[in-house]
Amino acid sequence: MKLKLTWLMTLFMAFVMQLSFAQEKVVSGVITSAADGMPVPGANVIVKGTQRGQQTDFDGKYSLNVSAGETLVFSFVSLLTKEVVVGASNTLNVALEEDVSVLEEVVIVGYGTKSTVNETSAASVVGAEQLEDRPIATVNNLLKGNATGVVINQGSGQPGAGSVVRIRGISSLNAGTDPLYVIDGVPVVSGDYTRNNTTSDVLSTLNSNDIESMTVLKDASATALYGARAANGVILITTKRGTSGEPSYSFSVETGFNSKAVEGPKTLNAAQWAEVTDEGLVNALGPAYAGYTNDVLNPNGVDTNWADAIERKAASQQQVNFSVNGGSDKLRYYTSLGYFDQEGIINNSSFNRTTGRMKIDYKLTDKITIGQNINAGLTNLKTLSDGGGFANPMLAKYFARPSDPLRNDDGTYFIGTNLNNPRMSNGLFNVPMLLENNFNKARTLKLTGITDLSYDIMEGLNFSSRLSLDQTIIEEDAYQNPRHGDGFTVDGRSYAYDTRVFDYVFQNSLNYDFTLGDKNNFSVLLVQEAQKNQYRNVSAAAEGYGKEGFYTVSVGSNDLEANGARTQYTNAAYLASGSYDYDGKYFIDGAFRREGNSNFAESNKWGSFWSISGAWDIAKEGLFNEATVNKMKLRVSYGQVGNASIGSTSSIDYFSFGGEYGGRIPLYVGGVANPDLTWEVNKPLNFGLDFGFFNNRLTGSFDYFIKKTEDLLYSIPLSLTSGLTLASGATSKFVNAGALENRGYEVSLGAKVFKGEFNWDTKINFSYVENELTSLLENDVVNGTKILREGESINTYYMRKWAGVDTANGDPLWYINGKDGATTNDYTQATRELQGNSLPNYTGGFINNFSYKGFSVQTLFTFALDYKVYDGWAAYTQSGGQYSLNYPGYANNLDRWQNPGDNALNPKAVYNTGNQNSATSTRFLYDGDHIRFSNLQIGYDVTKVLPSEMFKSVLIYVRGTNLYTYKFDDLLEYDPETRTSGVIDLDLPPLKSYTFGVKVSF
Amino acid sequence: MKNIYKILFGGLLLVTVMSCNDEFLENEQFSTTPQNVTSVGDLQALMYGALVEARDVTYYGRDMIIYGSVRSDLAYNTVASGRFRGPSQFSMLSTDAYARDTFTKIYQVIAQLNIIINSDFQDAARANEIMNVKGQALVLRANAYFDLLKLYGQEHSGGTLGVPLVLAYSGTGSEKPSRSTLVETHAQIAADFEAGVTSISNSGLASSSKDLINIHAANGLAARYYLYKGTTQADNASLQLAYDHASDVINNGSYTVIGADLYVNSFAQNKTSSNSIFEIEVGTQAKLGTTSIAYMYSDNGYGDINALPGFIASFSAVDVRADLINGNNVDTKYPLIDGSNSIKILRYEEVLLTRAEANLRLGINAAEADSDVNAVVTNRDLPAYAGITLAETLEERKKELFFEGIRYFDMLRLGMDIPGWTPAGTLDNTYLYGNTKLAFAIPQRELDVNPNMQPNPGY
Repeated sequence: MKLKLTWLMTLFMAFVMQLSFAQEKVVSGVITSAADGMPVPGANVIVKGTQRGQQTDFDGKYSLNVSAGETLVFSFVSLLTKEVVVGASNTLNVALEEDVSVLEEVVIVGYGTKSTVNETSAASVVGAEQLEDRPIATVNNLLKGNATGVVINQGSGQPGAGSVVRIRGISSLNAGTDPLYVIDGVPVVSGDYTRNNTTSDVLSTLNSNDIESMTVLKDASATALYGARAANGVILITTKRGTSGEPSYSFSVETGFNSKAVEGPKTLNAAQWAEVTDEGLVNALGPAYAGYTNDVLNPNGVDTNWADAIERKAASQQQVNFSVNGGSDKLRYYTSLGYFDQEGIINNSSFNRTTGRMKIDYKLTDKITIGQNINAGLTNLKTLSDGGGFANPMLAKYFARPSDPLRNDDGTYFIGTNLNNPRMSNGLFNVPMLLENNFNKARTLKLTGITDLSYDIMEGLNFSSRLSLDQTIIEEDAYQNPRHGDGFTVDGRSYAYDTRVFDYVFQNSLNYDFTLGDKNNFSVLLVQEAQKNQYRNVSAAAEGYGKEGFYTVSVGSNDLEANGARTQYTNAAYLASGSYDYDGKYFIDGAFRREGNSNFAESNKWGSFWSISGAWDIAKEGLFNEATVNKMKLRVSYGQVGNASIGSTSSIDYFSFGGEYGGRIPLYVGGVANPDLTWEVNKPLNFGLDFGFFNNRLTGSFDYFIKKTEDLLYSIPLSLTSGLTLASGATSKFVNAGALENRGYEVSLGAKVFKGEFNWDTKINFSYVENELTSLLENDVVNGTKILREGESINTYYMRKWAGVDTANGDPLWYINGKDGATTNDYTQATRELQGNSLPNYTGGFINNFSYKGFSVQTLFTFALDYKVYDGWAAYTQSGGQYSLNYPGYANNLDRWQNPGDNALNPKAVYNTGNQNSATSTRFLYDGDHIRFSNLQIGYDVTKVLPSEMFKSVLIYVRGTNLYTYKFDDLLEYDPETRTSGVIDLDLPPLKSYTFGVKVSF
Repeated sequence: MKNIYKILFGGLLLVTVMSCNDEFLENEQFSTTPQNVTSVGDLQALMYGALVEARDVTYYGRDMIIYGSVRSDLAYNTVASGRFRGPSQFSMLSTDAYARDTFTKIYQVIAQLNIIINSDFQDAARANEIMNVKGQALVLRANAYFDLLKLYGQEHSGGTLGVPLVLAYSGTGSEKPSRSTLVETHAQIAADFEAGVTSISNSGLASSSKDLINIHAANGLAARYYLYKGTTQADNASLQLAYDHASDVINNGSYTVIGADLYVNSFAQNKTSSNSIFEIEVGTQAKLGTTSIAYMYSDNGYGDINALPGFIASFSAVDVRADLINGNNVDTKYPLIDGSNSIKILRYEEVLLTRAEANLRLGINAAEADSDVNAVVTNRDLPAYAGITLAETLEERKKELFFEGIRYFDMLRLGMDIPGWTPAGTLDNTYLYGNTKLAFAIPQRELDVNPNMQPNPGY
């Protein structure tokens, strides 16, 4: 197989490489590192001015046909390139010096690349080594702990689930808060486009093994280039491209299994449930009910463990990746295939992905380069009902009675005794039956093609043009069986939903780099960009499936739904940016972008965005020893970007259509004409310091920022009497009003503690962000468990404060003033107060990588501190006996008040109590603070003991993901990582994975 | 070769210029149209839209019917599914979703109606149709304010406030109305009913479709309102209007009381039953499924709203109406568990019982009262009354219209105390007439944004 591939690739190369046969003599030698004298495998040796060359083998050896007088160029990443003229000798050994500026790599920035030396902005870069082979489906999750200023909430353990990414806090109330994703220079759609699945992310069609780097752009200087969509930060994803040289292959295979990262609340068994329930009945209705013990409530002595019935015994995890890259100085290619398969810990929840990528750059002439970048990603997702859906397995876990059997004696599922309404004894569904017979599936195909053209008009002046076509096709199928569950009353139901998003981006840019005198370096960039995004969907559903096993809509006897929708938006922009530096010491950058967006009214379509930034590298002033202080760069940036994430009907009033009335066509009034609506303005101010000491063995950066958002796109609630209630149920309109601020700092410190045979690299990323609503059109807007109040964070909880259980009589108590002091057992007498916020203020990661000879150990700890999570279902599952009879709830219901003097977690169990004990209060608000051992990889490179001519490396590894989670709050039983809202909503718990893999390079 | 590049770059430049003009940034809409009425069809479509909104579960699709049934001496809520806990157990908070959602939906219907009522669209050739649809809108608006008044007004909870009257669609959302008084609210409802009846009548158009408001539906709804006002306020003029509007339906409509043999089945009929005057169409496409009334009433759904044992026992053994009750489930008044039955808003039997009650209260014609009530009861397999009393009329009304969203408001207008029931169907508490909890909470959501809105006390 491998040989065949090699042969194929060789054939391919033969087509595209113009091989030269100027045959004179053979020069060979060994390339070593000057620092430690070790051979350097994989270094490039190229004959200058030709396409001839090769890479060194495992022992650092090369052998090349050259003629005397030609120049050989020796190069390797992180080592200084060396040129040697071929003389009389046939042996040429070269020792390459270490490149002190290794950390001054080129980084990908908006619309191009930049040397970090010139960088004046705040950006975090995460390299391929942190992204490859992780058992995590969606690439943005991998930023967790690896980049400063980024908070990622996965929220659900559903494989392929969407995550919420927040860069430097939340900078908007009602407009979008997701960052802009830019893949290979093209802004792309992200997020969940499924309509009949609980969670997904189109970014999950991307294979993280194809990614060279992810750059998080945070301040104005970095993001202003993206104008009206940059307010929430920008994540640049750069995929791998070929490097000149012989084909380099990589093959990896990994397998393992998944379980829960955090166990979650335990359930009650039948006897425990009966005990709590009977006590509640007696307390509510008197001693006459004392007989409702396990024998009565559960005469058949059933004791079903519903958690076991819904959970997979072993959820598997697999991935296989193959890539090859190489090229000549005319052509470079990278191509890959990948397969990823992950099962959730609940039956019927899974995700798999197949990806193929081809990236080719070809130099047509000396001046013209064309490139083609094609990616196809196919994912298959199976999700489950969530939240309060009766089919939600997490709900069934806590709501199903243990006294109901899972199966009948004949092995079929128990679905109750009423044939007209097959339900379990408490009216719920047998969810394991549904997991086996129902499904919600999404098949997503994302095809992206980017065509690049680059024309070097003259020295320093380049024109380039790029066209990106991006089509996302999502086919969703769902089925509810006719025997039991939601499909029963309608004889089964199936849905077929089709969703398509087509996005094209057309960019033209002109870049001019020039130097005046010796030291005045200028770079000017002009860009024109146009984007059109077209969305459409078609939905069909039918009911009445006489026979099971048929899901096609046309089989259904009763058509339920035939819908279609279309929306589109367009975006046009002109951009100018320039940068200047003097001798690599002083830097000034500026950018201006004029952008138009179709979603705004005629008079407000266009907006202007800009930034200015400067930097001064004090290390270059000669004040310090150059070897000790390699870099000490002060940076400052300020600018104005925008947020235009609103819908296409946000600025207009209209009549809308839909549905029927007795066969007649209705019209509905909707929307508010809003010609003044405009962008939300975001003004980030950033101060930064980058430093490198001791030959860059100790490096790091510090950033302080104040990010102000003005003219907030605020969805102001309108009087319900206005009748302006939208289909979504909201009675509101957008206005530009109010302001908020995110302030914080970020510290990133890296050190090469040991270097040589034993290597120890360590890095810590630490971010702090605080949010303050500085002005609001209306004060104290209470929304469920949260409040918007001037001077407070926008994520502030607002509820009554739990004061525990009255030890004398078991009553629930709340603080009257919402803080402290006097208590009351009357819920309505207690006032609501601020109770902390739902977004972590402190986040970060701690990375340690060790290697010794062939052994390597990589570790990542992540943490999030200072935030609270609210258990949104505890009102039922920990109800103080109120719902115990029907819904057993958590095992912690056992810890209840029974006798005077009891110091219990829960109040006296009273069936159907009206004491509001489980109504919203801090009783169910927990500290989410946690530290997680996110990644441990222990690997061994077999080639270190079994040197091979064939393989560059054969890495065998075991990896643990989310191995251990330390929660600061003992009472919190759920995983502390939840939705951005902080609400635990009976979601699938995040995964813990153990994987074993082999990665071969040759 | 060079020329190819020139052509290529020239082409790029052209596309560049083309892609950035203002046309490129036009906000193209695919499923909405500008807010202009340009035909009679638009006005009628807005009327259909209002009725679609009214069939939402938060209004006639479910909640309004359940409120009128569960807060009474007819029904209790087992709260097995947790639904209607606030309304049925009088444990409503100002943040209660039921209080908020029904308030929201009714005003949404009113906004839709206000556009029709205030439209200045003219079409001389179709002036009758315009007059007719405006009349329908006025009647439906009167009925909507009547519903708001019954739920949120302080008439039975010791206050003087009615509900905010919004009579024009602003489209700006800038309105922050205060509550009109009970007197003002009543005046507006009466004016809308009268104007609506006149307008439909003058249009000369007779709709035979039971899912739209024709002249009889207009008169019948007006009669229901005037009976409510007349009994609540002991106002004979209103009772006379109730009598007159009901008489109009009885004398001029071609409706009949449904016979005993067809009675149970008649509730399964959509828009065809001879006793039905006005229904809100649902149908299979818009069926309400698990959010339907049927799902709340039937044990084949949640089955949370059950008939009280005492009420079940009150039926005579031969009374066909008892056949609607199966165990303690009333599962044949809204028989289809998928919630596709159209919602019956006004039946001929109610109009007869309304006239009989107004008649007896005013002492107009005892024989006619007998015949009105007997037209109903003899078709229920019961013996005819001779010299019927007011109490007997009210008892028949209760038995005829139970679980149809009428009883709670009847009890209120009769000044009765309202019982609250435990989930087991035993008496939990009695809310004396005048108790603040007899009016729903003005939603906190509205109080939060509208400083002029006065809350209802007790929440």
